[in-house]
Amino acid sequence: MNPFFKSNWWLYVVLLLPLLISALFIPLNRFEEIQLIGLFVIGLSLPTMWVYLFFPVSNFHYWHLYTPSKIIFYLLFRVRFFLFFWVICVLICTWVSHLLPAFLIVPPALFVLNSIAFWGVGHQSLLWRTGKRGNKIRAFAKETGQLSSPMGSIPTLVRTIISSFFSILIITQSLSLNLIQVMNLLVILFSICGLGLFLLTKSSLKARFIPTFVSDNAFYDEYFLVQDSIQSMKPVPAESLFWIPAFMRTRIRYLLTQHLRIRSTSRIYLGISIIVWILALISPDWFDADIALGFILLSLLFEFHLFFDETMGSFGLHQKNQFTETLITHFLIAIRWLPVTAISLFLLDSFNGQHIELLLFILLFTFINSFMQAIYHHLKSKKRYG
Amino acid sequence: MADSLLVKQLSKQYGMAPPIFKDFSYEFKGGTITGLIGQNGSGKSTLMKVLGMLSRPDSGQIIINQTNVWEKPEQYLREIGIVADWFQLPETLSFEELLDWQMEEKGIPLDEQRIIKKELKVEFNFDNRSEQIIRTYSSGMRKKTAICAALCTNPKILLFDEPFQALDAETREILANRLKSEKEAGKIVLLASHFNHDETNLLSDAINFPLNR
Repeated sequence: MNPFFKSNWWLYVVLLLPLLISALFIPLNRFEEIQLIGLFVIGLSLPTMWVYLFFPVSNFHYWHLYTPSKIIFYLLFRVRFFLFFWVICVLICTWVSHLLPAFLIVPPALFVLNSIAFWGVGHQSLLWRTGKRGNKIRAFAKETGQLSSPMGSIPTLVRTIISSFFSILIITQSLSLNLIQVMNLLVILFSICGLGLFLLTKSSLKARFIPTFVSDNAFYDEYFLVQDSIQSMKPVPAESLFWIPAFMRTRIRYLLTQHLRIRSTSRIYLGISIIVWILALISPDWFDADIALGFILLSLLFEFHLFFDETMGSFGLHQKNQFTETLITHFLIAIRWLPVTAISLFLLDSFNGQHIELLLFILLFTFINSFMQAIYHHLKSKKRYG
Repeated sequence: MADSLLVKQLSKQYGMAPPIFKDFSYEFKGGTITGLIGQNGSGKSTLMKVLGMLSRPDSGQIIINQTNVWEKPEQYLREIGIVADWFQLPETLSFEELLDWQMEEKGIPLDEQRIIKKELKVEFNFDNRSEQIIRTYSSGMRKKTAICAALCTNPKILLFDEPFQALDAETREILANRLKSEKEAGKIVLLASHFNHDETNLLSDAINFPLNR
């Protein structure tokens, strides 16, 4: 168990057990079920997102030299995109007003919950690896040979399961309370934040923050940023880019390979699209097309912001050295998911037949993004080389 | 083969600072190695960046085959190979992939690509780490990777800024021999470096920096 709430685990249980019990008895109508599914997706993805948002940090070996406040500001900087997308979510939900309170409060509350749950996992991982914890499981694994995961990964695995479970639970509760009174959600938020702060301050922030941060990061560095896993990703097959003009294919292929090796966000976009398709096919009247479009645009935007990455700039594009080449390259990379977007739009039968117009809008949106990226990379190159 | 690279009245200045060089003219001839010699900050790398089209001059021309390179940049960029610490390599590609990329862009046939890659790996003593991504390389390996990436497409002009830095004695010698053979093949080679005695013997000509500020 996390050293920060080792002696206070019962507080956690007391807070969440009533929610668990009552969640089982919430009567929901169909529209509420749809909202629930969307929030469930967030609930399941947050524990994993948390890990990727905060860890691993390059050059973390030097971090023990920094002050806790510097590290906290750095961590806030790391989650800036989460905060940005949360604001966008809130704006979208203001448009569809009934979801606003849930989106305003639930994601940050879950973020705090996951922070508490995952904090200190590096230290626990070390204990499991060195054989000071989990002896029964170790003996069982040795006897049966049925445990393929490394022992050090068990604390994270358990926390991910528990965290996902409680996240979904809170979402279920938030939804039911949302229908009754927004104030109840605020109570949940402040309870969780208060509990987190209490546990953190009680454990002497200054003395424990940095060693815990460094050991957690070492753990995630080992498990999530193993160079082999990056290298094992083969370059994008040339055949898959058949629709790109031959004279640009090689460059786009290797730029895309670099991009995907850093962050494979395409999977997020594809995952969201598939969820939209399944829900739209099961029962179209379930689905709020505006919200679906919001999610599609949001995931596209998330994908596009990564094109501002250094890898999409100087080296490959220098060989052409022209703004239009950069623009076309970025645009072609960005529109590779356009057929997927088109399928999503046509499956969502709620746009009064304005599918083509919407598709053109997304195309324009993509072009503007590519234009901004091209300007950014050229200015950056100018700044770098003078 | 590029007979010569003509630089005409090239000027470069950053902001209000004194010009790095002003009205600099020179003819870099094929089959020569020209050394750029000078103290740190004297403008050697700036000239390399301008010649590599990474930085635009304030005035002047760079002419190859009677054409100003800024008029047909793509054609010129296919003819140059750059090695410099300021020229960032793609961190998440391996040595092998980087060379594949460079050679594919130039339309070199696959069989030929394999031969070139194999020869360069043997020449510069690359082991099986050539399949790992560049991010994991030491500075010496990065330098060797940059050199091989610049040489693999057989460019006519080589712009090498501090190519010997971070290399061990054995690799410095290998590189020196390679540069000699490039010179004999009629290439235009520009070297900016703090040369030791042996490396100075490589040079056909030298330009002393700072230029006429």
